[in-house]
Amino acid sequence: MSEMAASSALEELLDSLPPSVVAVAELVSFPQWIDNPTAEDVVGEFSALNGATVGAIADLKRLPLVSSIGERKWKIASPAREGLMSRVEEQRPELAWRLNSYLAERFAAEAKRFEHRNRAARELRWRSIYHLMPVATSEALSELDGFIEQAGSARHSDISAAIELTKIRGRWLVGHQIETAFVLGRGAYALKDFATAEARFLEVWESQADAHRRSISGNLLGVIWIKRNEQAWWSKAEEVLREAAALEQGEGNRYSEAMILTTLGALQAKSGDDAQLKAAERTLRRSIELSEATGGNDGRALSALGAVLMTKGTDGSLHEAEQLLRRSLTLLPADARDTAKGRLARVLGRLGGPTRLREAEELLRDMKGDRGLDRAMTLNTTAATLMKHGDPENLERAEAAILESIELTERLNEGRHTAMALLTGSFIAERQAKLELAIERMERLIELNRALGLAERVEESAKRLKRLRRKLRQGTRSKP
Amino acid sequence: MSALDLEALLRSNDGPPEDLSDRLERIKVSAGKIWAKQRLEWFTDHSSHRHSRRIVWLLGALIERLQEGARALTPAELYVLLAAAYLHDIGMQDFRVTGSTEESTAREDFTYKDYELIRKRHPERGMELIVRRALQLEPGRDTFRVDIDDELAYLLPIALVSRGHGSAYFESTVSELDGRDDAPGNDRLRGGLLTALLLFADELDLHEDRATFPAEMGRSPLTALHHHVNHYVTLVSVGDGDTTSTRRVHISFAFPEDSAEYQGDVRLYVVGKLSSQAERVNPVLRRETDGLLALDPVMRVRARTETISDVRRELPDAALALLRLDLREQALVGRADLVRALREACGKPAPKIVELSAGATSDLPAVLSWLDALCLAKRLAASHVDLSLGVATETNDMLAAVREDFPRGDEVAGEDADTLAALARDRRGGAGRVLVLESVDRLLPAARRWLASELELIVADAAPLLVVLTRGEGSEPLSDDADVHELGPIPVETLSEYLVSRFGYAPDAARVDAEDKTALSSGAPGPILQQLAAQLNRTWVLDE
Repeated sequence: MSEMAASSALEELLDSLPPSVVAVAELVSFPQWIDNPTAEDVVGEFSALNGATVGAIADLKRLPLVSSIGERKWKIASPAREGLMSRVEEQRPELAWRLNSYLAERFAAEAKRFEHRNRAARELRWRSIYHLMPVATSEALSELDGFIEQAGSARHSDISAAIELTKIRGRWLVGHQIETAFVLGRGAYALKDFATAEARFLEVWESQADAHRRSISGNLLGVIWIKRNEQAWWSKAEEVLREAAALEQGEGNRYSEAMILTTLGALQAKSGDDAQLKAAERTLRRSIELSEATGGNDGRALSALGAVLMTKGTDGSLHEAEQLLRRSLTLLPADARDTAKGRLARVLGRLGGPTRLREAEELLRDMKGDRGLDRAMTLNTTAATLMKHGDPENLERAEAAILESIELTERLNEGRHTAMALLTGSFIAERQAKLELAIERMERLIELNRALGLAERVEESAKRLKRLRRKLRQGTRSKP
Repeated sequence: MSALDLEALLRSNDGPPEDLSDRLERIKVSAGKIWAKQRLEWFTDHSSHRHSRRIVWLLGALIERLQEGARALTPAELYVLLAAAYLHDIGMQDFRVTGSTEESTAREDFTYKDYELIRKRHPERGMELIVRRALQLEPGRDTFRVDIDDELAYLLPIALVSRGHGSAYFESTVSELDGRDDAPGNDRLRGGLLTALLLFADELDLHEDRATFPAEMGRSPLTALHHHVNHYVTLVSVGDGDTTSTRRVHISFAFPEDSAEYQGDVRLYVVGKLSSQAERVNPVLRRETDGLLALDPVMRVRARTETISDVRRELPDAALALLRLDLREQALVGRADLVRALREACGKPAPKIVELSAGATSDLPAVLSWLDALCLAKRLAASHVDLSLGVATETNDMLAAVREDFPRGDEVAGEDADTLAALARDRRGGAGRVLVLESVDRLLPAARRWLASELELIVADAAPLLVVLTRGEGSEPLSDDADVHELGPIPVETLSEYLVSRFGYAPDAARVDAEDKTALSSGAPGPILQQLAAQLNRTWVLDE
């Protein structure tokens, strides 16, 4: 069926109608669907411009190009809708502009009558942006970005619909490529389509777009690259995050700068060597300072700094880590607390004492993380905590937990986490007097760290391996 | 508007030995007795002293110009036509409805369905009464004696023309009359022409006088509709058309205040039927008058809103729902199987799932509008959720939308499995519910999976429920339990049959036009329906 034939049938139908009915059809073709009160308002508002009459609404509704949606709503069905809209846009651009403007405003106002997560509110907001697109494109793209942000990572239908909106309204987005790329990147990121997100964010990052869009793109590019778990990508991530933070600093946007610094600090902490840990501590402290200066608290930064201080391992730093992690737990949303809980459990385990160990165990039990890596990390922390008790029964439980953690991280190809689990496993084996196993785990750990390019850690591990071998030799000699 | 007085014309051309006007007077007296009291109160006024007289007046207006020329009706034809005009509905006054026991149902016990049966079959019964009572082949009450001579050359054409006024009998009656060569006084009688004239004049007799608003209206929306439609017609007249041989129909409507929403529906209902009947009788009129009489296919309509408050009755909701359902069903072409399936599913005690697969140029809008009208007319609780935008189509969004539509939906909490099934179940034991989910192919995979599993639960449930899912052409079916209907192209044959039944086309003309329309639209149903709507719009002009 050619478009021409459909268009010719539509023209024939329109020719057979009184002008007032055609005028109504043109007006109500703009919204995706409409109800009678809205249709009457629209006709009332624009009748002077195109000759539509309220009485003609009922006549229009009888035509086969109108589809009812239950008792109250109706719509001009595609492709007639597009045909009618095009007529107005081509022949009466001023009317099209005013109509879109009116509908954008009306739907935005209607959306405000509902709580923002409500189905109707989201639908109205999307429709408002749809109409705003030809009227105020930049504003519409900002609104669309906000719409995606509000959808979070849970409402995939909204994000997909937002991405589709840029396609439906593509003709109005010429000259707004970078803003569009930014929206598409945000959408793809929320949908975990990191390849698309990376491409779009790179487009924004390498452009001369406004600093805020660039810095957010830089931040998210950093996050995407961090997820790749390779030193080369981490270096690129660090570079882009530093630049992004500098951009926000230049703009005086302290809140956004803080957010980026948190990502940067967490990355530096991951890198592991002393210098990087020190850098991470500085970065995260700066992030927290900036957050507090804007009257906010960033639970993510507190948790990340807690982890850095835990790695430092001095008494003072462990106590501070405990405080930071406790604060972070009060700030983080419920579904993002597992990492902080695990960290706090580990800090408590290292600080020791029956009360702290009991609390650590409770925290670990309370963790919801059951997705691959989360679970592996939880198991590692659990094993470390159980080991602290030192009795045979808890050591056996610790061994079972660490075995599962090692297996999981290997299956997920998470080398760094396998290395951490192997280290814990080596300590557990040593406590169980299984020195051969402890040595084997250290050997595997060294091999892994070498492959990951973590020279400093290889050196530290080699010292421990040497000590274990000596202990084994001594033990063997002393046997009868 | 004036009209030729046909009874005066008959008298002026009459005399012994035929005395046709005297015979007509006796028939009028018989008809008057038969119609002294209308026995079936549900119907609009069909009495001989009002309905038949107006038909005679309308016939006068229809043939006014014809009578001036060489193909004018002869006195014998006039007599047959007028006699049939007075007798054509008498089958309504003596109608037996028998059940399986062959015992007649008492009139007081007639149901709405009995009335519809009578409406359909009364032309045949009328013919029987005229012939069998005149020839005393059937005993009956004196009241129903038709005082008509047993001269077959007149009696049988009168009986046949009477029967032919019924739409279902028209073609067969014309054909039968064509083959009979009835010729009283050896002058050939144009029975087909008389039948065509009577059928059209009978259709034209829409008038507020005929609306009696019986109490039974409350039990039958269709009865209410008929009375109200007549109530809104203040004048029907016939005048000159663009040429001397064409006659043009004028109809004036007066509607109550606040009727803007349905004025057009009523107009379309009336004009659509009249224009179809005009198209239907025109070939016979032209053929039998050598082209000197035809009906203008474009009718002139005047519509106004009554300025004096409360004198016009509002169209009841149930009657309006029925009117819209009728109009929307008439607009569908070649969807009889689908319509039947959905109608049956609405009345069944078990759930049914129907998937409609439709392309961009399908007739899905018309089908969905019909379905919504069906729900309204049958007073079914219905929820229609349009997912075509894709936004806010998570599972809990769908549930929220359905909750808003179904009565007491807010009492069904939760977003667990089987929540949709629980919402869709009518806990009051009502007539069943209808759930329409439009554009399910726009759902993201997770929501699609959820919906498919919910539908399995719905099928397992015994609740009376019709679920209609629509999706784009070529998209994956959603439910294994669904009956799938493809809203594909309309075949030329189907369109041709539609043009015959809806627009009154002759079969050959219908075929040619169907081929043209199909060629223009490549058979796509949407554009074909648009062409048909345009054609219908061109059958009338609104006079300001």
